[in-house]
Amino acid sequence: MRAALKDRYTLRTAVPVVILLMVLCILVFSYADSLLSGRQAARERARASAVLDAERLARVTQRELKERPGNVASDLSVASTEPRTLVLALISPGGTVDMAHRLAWRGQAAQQLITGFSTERLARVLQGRLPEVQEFSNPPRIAVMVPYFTEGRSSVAANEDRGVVYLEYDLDHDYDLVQWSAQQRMWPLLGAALLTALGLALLIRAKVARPLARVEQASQHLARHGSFPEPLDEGGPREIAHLAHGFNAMVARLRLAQQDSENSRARLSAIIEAAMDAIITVDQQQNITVINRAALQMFACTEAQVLGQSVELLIPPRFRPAHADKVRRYAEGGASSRAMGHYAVVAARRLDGEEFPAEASISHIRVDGALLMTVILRDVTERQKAQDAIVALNTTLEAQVQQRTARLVDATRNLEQQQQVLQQAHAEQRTIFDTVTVGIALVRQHHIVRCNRRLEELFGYGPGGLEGQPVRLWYPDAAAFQSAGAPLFAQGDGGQVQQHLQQLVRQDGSRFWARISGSRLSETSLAGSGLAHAWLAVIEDMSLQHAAEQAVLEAKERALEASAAKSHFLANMSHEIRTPMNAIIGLSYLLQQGTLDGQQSEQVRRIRASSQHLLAIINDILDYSKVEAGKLRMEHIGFELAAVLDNVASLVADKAASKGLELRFDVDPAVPAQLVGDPTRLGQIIVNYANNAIKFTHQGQVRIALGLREQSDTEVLLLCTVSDSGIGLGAEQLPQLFQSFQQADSSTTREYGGTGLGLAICKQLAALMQGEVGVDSVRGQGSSFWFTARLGRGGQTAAAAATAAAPDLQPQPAPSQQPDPQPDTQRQPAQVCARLAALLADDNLAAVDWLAEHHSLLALALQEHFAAVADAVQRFDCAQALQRLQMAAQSRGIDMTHTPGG
Amino acid sequence: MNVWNACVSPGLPRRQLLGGAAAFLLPALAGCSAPLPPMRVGSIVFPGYEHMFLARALGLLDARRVRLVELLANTDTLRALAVGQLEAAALTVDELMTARADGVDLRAVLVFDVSEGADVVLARAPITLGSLAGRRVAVEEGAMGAVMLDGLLQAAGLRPEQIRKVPITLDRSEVLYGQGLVDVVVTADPWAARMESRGAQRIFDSSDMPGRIVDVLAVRADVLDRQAGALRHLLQCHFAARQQMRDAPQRCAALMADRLQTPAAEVMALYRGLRLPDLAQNRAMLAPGGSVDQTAQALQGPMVQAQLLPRAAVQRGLADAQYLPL
Repeated sequence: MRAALKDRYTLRTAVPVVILLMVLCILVFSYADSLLSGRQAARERARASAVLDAERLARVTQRELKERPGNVASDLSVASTEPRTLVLALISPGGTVDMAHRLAWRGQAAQQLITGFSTERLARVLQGRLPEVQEFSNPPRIAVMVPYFTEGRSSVAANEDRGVVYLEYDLDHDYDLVQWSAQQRMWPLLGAALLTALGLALLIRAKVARPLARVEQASQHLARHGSFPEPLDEGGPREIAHLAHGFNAMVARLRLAQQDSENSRARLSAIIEAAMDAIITVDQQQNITVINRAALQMFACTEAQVLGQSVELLIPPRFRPAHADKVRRYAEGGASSRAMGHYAVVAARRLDGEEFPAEASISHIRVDGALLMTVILRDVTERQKAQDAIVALNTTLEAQVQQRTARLVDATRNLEQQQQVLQQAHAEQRTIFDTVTVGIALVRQHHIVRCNRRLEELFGYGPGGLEGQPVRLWYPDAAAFQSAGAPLFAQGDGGQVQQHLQQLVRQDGSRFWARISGSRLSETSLAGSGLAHAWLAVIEDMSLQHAAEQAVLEAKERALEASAAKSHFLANMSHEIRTPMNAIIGLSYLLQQGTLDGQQSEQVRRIRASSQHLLAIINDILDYSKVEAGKLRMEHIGFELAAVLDNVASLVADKAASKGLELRFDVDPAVPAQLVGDPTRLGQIIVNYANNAIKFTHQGQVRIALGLREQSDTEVLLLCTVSDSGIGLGAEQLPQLFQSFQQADSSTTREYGGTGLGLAICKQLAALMQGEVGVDSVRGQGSSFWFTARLGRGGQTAAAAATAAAPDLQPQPAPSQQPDPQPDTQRQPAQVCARLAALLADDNLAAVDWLAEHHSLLALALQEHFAAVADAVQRFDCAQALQRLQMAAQSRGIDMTHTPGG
Repeated sequence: MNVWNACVSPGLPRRQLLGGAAAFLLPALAGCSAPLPPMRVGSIVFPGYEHMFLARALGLLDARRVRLVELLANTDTLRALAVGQLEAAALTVDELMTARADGVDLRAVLVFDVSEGADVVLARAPITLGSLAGRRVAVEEGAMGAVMLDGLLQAAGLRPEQIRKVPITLDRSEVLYGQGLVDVVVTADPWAARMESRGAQRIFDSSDMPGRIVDVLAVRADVLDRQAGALRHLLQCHFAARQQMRDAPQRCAALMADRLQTPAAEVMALYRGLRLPDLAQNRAMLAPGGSVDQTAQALQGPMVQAQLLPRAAVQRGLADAQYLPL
């Protein structure tokens, strides 16, 4: 079969070959056609040309042969140059050559020289005037004979006066040309045909043969191995795609079918294997073909021992003959098969020889004509044992019943005793419930389910008067219930106790203060008691406590009023005291200016000092009192920050200088120069801080820094920090600092003096300016007191304001250290140098800018030292720059110490 | 089983077949040129040229490659060359130069012979060189005639106007002389031989001016490449015929007699006065600057004088030796 198939043609070869053959046939026909028609055309052309040439020569001959035969010979020889000419001759009627294209032919017989020449034809031509054309096909020739008659003679011409021009053309070359051009036309066509056939072969192989081969391979694979191939590509022409698709669908169907069959076989064998009963299948020869695990266990054998053996191996020998007979009859069908098909208890034999009873059922099936019988067996040894046991049990049952009845009576008695205990406990609880001094109610869905007697008394109801009533009755109005009552009974899970102090109303309309505690009862503890979603409300009468609280509040108010009155009085009194104090100070000053001896002068000085001290204390008290009394009014005017700082400097600079302390002002350029607020009180806080700082500092510096903590278009929150290098404060002292009449330590009062009111006043003043106060300090490492004040924005920044105010500030050293854009012409060299030194001392990069701004002035001032200073500054080597600047200033006699803060 | 392999292996022979076909067809397509017509070689009757015709008579010449066209006068030959009716022709060098001057580019590829007595001036007795003045001299209107006449006048010490020149064509020289229309004829064999046999006196011939009259095979330059094969074949046949003539002079003479219109016994005598250069001599003469070029240079003077050439020019590249047989 396969050999026969191998001999068959293949599509991919056959189709292109057939097409190629057809095209070749067409080409051969076309070639033959063009060859034939070309030859025909060549022949016709040659014929016409030959007749024409012969005729022309005949005319020449006719005219000139007599007179100038040389001319005729010459023309003839020239005419013979025509490439096709084979023979060109003048032949006399006698058949001899008069002239020819070959000299040697002259005078010879034409018949001997010219193949195919016949004298008959010559005679026929000489008879008429028409040219005679004769064609030869092999070799291709055309021969023309044209007669000529010598002119000027009678019409009855003598033989010697006439003749023929014989012209024969050889067409070999023309035919060659025709063949060549036909071939030239054919080659490209042949090439195109071959290419087309090749392309077609490739196309068929790619689009048809290969997909077909894939289908073939896949189907062979399926047929031989039974395993399913991968799905085929369904591309290509429609037929191929349909074929591939059909094949894929078929494979899919087969796969499904196989899977189904495997599944059902697996299911069946699983069922058989898992069956509790023994299942044995035997064939017609009574040999075991299938035996399941349960059967192997039942017969205590292995598969190898019994498979293929006769089933009689498993039957006690004494039943074997009868069994064979029964099986035969069963197989033949009929009544006995029915009997065997039913469940029946039969005797079976284990392989070790033990016999046992088994319930058996048998069925048969014909598979491919063979009879298979399946027996299902169940070992009923245990069942028979059980049946025996039941019979024995029935006899002992009576005695057991009596025993159980006795146990039941005992249990009932125990139960009654426990019930009594419970009842006692319930009575106790009830007593407690009714005798407590608080009202207790069980509330469910805003209604009182149960309440004690005390609750009824609280609300003025008779016994049982509240049960079933809504809780709303307790509250004076609906609003009070909604705001306080409803939330109380709407809370989530139990456990949490909610308490409210609430005014409630009695039945007679009178009201009283009570504390209500509500608690949702736990769901789990109440499950089944009918009290789910219930609240326990406890109500205490708080009337007395409430009255007491009211009394305390009134007392407090009265005390505050008294305090205010006292402050008011104090404020007024302080003012009254201050007036005479001014007189004492003024007069003692006048006294001191007068002529007093040493002792008097000392006494007056003491009076004055004491008075000033006293006045300061009074001022503090006055301020504090004013604040306390709410009499202090903050001003709201525009002011120059610079002026305030000037004033501060003038008030504290001397004190600082006298203690040898450095006083520095640092103003952030962002701080507006024009502010709106109370300049006096602002200055007062700074002075107070500064005085404190100077007071508690023995060496080092006091630094007043101003910056912004917040800012907007209209106002700023000014942050002023006064730092010192003084004794500092302990952490335990800080909280008390800003309270009135407090100092950090009672010992400080002795050492440093003071009323202890200053910081309290500062705090009040800052508060009035919507600010805060605070302090950071570590004992022994100085303190940093700060405050904030909210001030209106005056428009210009501090720098701009300083420019505007420059003429006024000119005589005074600038209190701030911010860059000062004053023109050099208006500046003292000392001032510029001092500023530079200060910036260098701070390692401030602004030093470089400063040097650039005041280049010319500094160059003029420092002369030959300038270059060194400038060099160091530009390298930002601050230490060296400062050293050189100081040396330069010294040698140039510039006093850089002459500026505050310098 | 590999389907792909199974499919491919039977296909291999076919593939080889296609490859073979392509290999066969491509050269056929590329190298197939049109069949050539036979090369036409014109020639008058002259013993020097006759070896070509002998070759034809001996059956050596392939008629499909070379056709010999028998012409009666060189004027016809030159016309036919000019209009393309001939590809080649047997000419004298002076004719070749004239044709070139007229615009027909010709090349000499073979030297047939050098006239050393073949071209003659015959006179009726008792006319001699000394009594030539005032005589009627028939001379062909061509370069050869001019060259011979120039040589004759120089030998006689006359000027052209001292004679009466009668223009003729060579084939008519015998007739005119026989009719007594001219006294002196500038002619050549075979007419000269016949006239001498009738009593004409030879008063001057080309041996008196050696190397002046050279017969060559002239080929149109435009067909040289195309007809190279035919040309080589012709030249080979020419030399083969000469060999035949040496080997079997009797037989050859018989074949040549008809054309030369001479009895076979007298054919060999016609070659008296002609020097026939062999292959080696041909090669030397046709080489650049060889005797063909020298001859052309020498002919220029008289030809310009006879108004056969418009002007004198350096004559080079007239000859081409490459078609000679190896």
